[in-house]
Amino acid sequence: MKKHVAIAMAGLLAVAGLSSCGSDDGGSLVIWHDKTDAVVEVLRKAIEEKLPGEKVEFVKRDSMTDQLKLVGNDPSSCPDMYIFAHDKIGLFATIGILEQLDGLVDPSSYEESVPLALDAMEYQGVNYGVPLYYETTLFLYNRDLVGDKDPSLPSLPKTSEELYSYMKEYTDGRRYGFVEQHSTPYYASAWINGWGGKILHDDGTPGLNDQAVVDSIEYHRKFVDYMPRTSADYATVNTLFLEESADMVIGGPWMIPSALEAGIDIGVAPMPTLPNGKPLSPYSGVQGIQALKIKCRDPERRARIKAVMECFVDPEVQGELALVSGCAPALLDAYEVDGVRDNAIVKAIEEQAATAIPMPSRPEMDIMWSELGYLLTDVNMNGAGVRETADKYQEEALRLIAQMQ
Amino acid sequence: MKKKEGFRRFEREARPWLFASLSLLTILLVVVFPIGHTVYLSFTNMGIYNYYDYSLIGFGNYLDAFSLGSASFLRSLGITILWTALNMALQLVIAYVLAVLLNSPHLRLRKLYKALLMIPWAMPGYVSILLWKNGMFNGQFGYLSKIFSLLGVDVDFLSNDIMAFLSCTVVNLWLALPFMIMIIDGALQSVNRELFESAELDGCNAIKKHLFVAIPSIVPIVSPAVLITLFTTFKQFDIVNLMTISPVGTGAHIETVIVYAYQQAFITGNYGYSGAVATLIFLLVVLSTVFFDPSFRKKGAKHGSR
Repeated sequence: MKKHVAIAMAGLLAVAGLSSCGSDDGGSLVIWHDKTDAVVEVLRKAIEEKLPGEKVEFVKRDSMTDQLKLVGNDPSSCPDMYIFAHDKIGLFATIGILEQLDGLVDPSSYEESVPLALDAMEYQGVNYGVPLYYETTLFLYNRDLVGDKDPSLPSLPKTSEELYSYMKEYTDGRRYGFVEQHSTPYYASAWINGWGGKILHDDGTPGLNDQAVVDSIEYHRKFVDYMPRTSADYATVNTLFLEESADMVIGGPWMIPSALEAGIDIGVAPMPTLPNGKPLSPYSGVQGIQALKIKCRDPERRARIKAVMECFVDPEVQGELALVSGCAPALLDAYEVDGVRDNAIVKAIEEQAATAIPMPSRPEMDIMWSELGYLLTDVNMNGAGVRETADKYQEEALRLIAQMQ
Repeated sequence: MKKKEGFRRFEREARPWLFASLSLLTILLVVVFPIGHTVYLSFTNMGIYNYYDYSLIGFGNYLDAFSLGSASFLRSLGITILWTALNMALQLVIAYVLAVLLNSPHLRLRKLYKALLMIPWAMPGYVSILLWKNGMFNGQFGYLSKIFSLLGVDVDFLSNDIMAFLSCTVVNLWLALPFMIMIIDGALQSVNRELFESAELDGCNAIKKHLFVAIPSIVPIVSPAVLITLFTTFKQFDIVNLMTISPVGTGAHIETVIVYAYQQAFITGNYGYSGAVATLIFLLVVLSTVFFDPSFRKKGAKHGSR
């Protein structure tokens, strides 16, 4: 019995060993991604049309960051390229597994893109990827409850103070004027950025206790009083909106399909402006394609990688990508494609792009997300004082960043 | 002739090793090597900024682990010990009581109760945890929150440390009790009824019968299961992580050591430090195995001649 087990084990080991070598046969190019089948289909079709005969294998990875950290330097198991949100570019560039884009892909092909998308692909002055499409959070509202659809409805707040009065007036036990994931850093950052605060400065120093950050969190706190205080996760916000218990929400474009399905007459409005006259300025995530350094050494393979990356720099392809993913395309020309120009989601995101800023991609950002999260939950959910809590987590962030070096 | 005999002897002694060698090799590769590598990393400064070119830095990471910060290793260790002790105590008491009730002589629908008690075990833990989080504790829609707010009390189940700790304990009990009940139930059935009768004749009351007859008889049977549960509870990750941290924080800071080590490695990218924490956890588990596992302690008695 034991013998059989041993033989089976040995067999398994052998198979595992062989299969891990499989990808280095010089045959297919491998692209890792974390996207839906519809997105991959568009990409595959683009390659089939423009590069007939080129073999590209799309592999879906759930924990892309960990996987790339693990094998990013190992030619036998790393992919040639990957498609992922831009905010890990700094991390991968720091550990040194990314190929620079300059010298690989001709800049003139993609430089006519939305500036935000181009900025996102850059880390410390070096360009690392071709932007494909991007998303921002949006100010969504239920047109049956608020807005100009019916004169009897209250009008849509344009400033945060108007929003606050609206919340005060209409929020009761069953209905909320406005709901957002108030203690989730990604969402709360819109308020901080709009206020002029920076949770991570460009040189990598944290700014949690900067005056602007502290002020914005202090200001934001009064809104939390009229939102579900302790449950502010995606499920809660989404459900409240779908059940018509929330008139307005800040959420991602990914909330729109389910809202339409639930029969909600959904509207997208510009973000309200803060007392300083600037609108809330959400972070944006840009999806792009990056190449792995170790795979670009061989000139022949490098040329194939270049060709594949370039074939996604196409208005038609990016337009279609935006439509199937509910985002907005990076290339400016893609906005002229039929079906893209008049798409409401694309339009809303495009308008938002003027005030949105790409998420910082420095590796320190991972620490900032978690420390800002603690700061927000302590303040919003447990009533801690903003200044001393901000000081506490600033110190913790400094300590962790020092430990990182 | 002598040579042949020597070869036979060699063959006889080498044979088992030869058969076991592939399994041993597998164990070496999947168990021993990762542990060894982690220990090695714990002495280096491997992190995001020294990802491929890290160097040995001695005991620096271990010193860091024992220095006091706001979210330090020692705090999470304290939480873990409290977590393990509280959960084990509650589990054993509740499981014992329920198992005794299941064994009461005139109980009807015994099988139905047993089946119902096993349901939490049949469900994937991940699903159970999220159901508890969103279905029971959610401040807006949670069943428990609704009940409490009808009673006029607002309870924050997950946003302050003590309530979150207790909520997590409830979920852990829900997940872990079926196993313990099954083990104790099985053990109780194996206790010789005559012991109870003679205890009764000797004038034992009900409580004494449990304390001096039932419990001592089941200890040897349930102790391996208790040991397993002790370690599962100690290294419980999903509950604390899903209930209070992932995907968004709920405001409680009740990281256990495993959650802490995970955060150090995968959020702050501090592999050297995380390795040191993991090594300390490993040593702790090894030490407690030696301490709690009777087979380690009785070894001396069994092989008294050595």
